[in-house]
Amino acid sequence: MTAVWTQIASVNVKQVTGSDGPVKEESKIYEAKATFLSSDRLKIEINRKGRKFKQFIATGETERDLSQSLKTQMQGFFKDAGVVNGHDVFESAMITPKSGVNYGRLVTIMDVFRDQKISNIGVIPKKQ
Amino acid sequence: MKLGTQELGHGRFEKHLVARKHKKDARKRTLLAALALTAMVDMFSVLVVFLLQSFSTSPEILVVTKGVMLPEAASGDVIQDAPVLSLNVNEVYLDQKIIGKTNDILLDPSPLMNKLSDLRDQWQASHPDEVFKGEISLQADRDLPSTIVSQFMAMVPSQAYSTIQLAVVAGGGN
Repeated sequence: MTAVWTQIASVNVKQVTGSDGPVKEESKIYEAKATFLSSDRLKIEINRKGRKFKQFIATGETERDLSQSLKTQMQGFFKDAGVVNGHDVFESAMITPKSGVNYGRLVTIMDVFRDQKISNIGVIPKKQ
Repeated sequence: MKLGTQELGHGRFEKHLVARKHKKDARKRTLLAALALTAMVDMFSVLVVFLLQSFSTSPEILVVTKGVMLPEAASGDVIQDAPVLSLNVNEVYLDQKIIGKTNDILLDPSPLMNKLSDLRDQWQASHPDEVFKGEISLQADRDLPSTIVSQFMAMVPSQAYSTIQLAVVAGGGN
């Protein structure tokens, strides 16, 4: 028997049903919605107080490229909006998957949002 | 010369010394065997202490189900103790026990829901004064379609598991 030890961590996701969502805080005015258009294109919509505020597309053939593109775009948005810490102003980030996009890419996107200190991340269920 | 109650001559005394040396050697051999056993016990003791220490510093040990290649992430948290739901292309496991075929569970999730409900009831029975935390770990193969994983993630909150810990390999990602 061979055992291989790998350091395993977790990315926490809050899935809510009905009215069980997090209590809204006044300072948290932004919401991010990420939608996979294809495996290498991701549309990000940022809403401010419930209204569409900014939209951009992240692209990347590989998971690393896609993640880097999203990170750059998010950092650009943070700079323009004068946001220092995503946790202070972002209510949540919701990701919509797509058939043809593997789970590894979905986690990559969550990882970028977490890196930007957005703590409430959810996945919108979608049938194939 | 007198040795104990025996009267010894010159030749006999030498013989006695030789015999005593042989006896001593034999005793030494026995002693050596006892020393080896002691060293082994010592070694095992050190090993046990080492294992206890290393297990106590790592918060949780998560067994990754066969056929599951976890995705990588740079910003992972420490895994908390929770039931482990594992998904691969063919099968669904809960705490290393097979629940059914992935496609069958997607069509009829009741076997998984019943098991999750049982686990929640067991936890509540053993922690009567605590509020159920609703944490569950999800191990899914990185090449699984994201839509399949999202459907499983949508199922578990119906059994009050609303915090999903996605198991990832630490240190990867961006």
